Amino acid sequence: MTGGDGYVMATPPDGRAVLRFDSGKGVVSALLRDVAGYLTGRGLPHDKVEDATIALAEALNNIEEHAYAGQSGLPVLIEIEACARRLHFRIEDRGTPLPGDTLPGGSMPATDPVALEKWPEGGFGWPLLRHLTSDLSYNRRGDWNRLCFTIS
Amino acid sequence: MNLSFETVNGVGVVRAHAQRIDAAVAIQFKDRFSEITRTLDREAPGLPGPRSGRAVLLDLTEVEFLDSSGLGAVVAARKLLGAGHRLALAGLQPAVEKVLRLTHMDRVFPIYADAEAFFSDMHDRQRA
Repeated sequence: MTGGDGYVMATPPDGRAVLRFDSGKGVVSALLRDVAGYLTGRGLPHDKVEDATIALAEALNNIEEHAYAGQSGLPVLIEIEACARRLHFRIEDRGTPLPGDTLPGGSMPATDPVALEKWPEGGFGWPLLRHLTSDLSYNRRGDWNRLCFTIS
Repeated sequence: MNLSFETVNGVGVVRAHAQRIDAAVAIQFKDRFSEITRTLDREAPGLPGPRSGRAVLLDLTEVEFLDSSGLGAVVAARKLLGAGHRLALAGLQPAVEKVLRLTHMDRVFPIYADAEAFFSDMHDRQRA
């Protein structure tokens, strides 16, 4: 077991990593560093560690900002499981469901080099997640949101 | 969020002294950059010449990680500078470069390997 202030990370002998943190306590950065260290230690190539870290960052930011709308002290659970050469991520929270109980659509925001005032400052998160992962899925289980994806 | 500012050869250089520009520090980044833009016109009038514009370099050499919130903060910074300035980026580490590339924002920011490459280009433009 390891972790920092406000989160716990366990790596049971079956090779999974299981994390739990409370929202809004500023622990995401430290948690991402620890996950990157864990994945590197398991032999994942550096560029895949980057992909996993970016994808996880986007998912966790979405939960803190939108599902939990900035509230602190609410639970987020993460499970990471390696299966052959694929890494499965499952992330759960008890916050507001995604609109329509479904993954948002939309492609990467477009930027017109000339129209500076229209350059997008957001809307990158879900397209980044979709690009970096496969098998991205979302469902509701009781009060919980469950987001799953694979990095391979 | 530690952003330092200096003028080099009349050009403003902003350096991010942080390993991460992410959701946790995006607002501080924007606030600090906003302070810097207020001093910019006074201290870094830019290079002479009709088309050189006013170039400002954002040196990200120390930044290991940038998420979409961090990218949004950099875009907001670009807008704070206004159309009369250009904002170039330098020193992109692989994970940062990846986010710029996947979001296609590498097509709208001039990107240099390091500050030296930026100054070399500015020097060439001045002489052209």
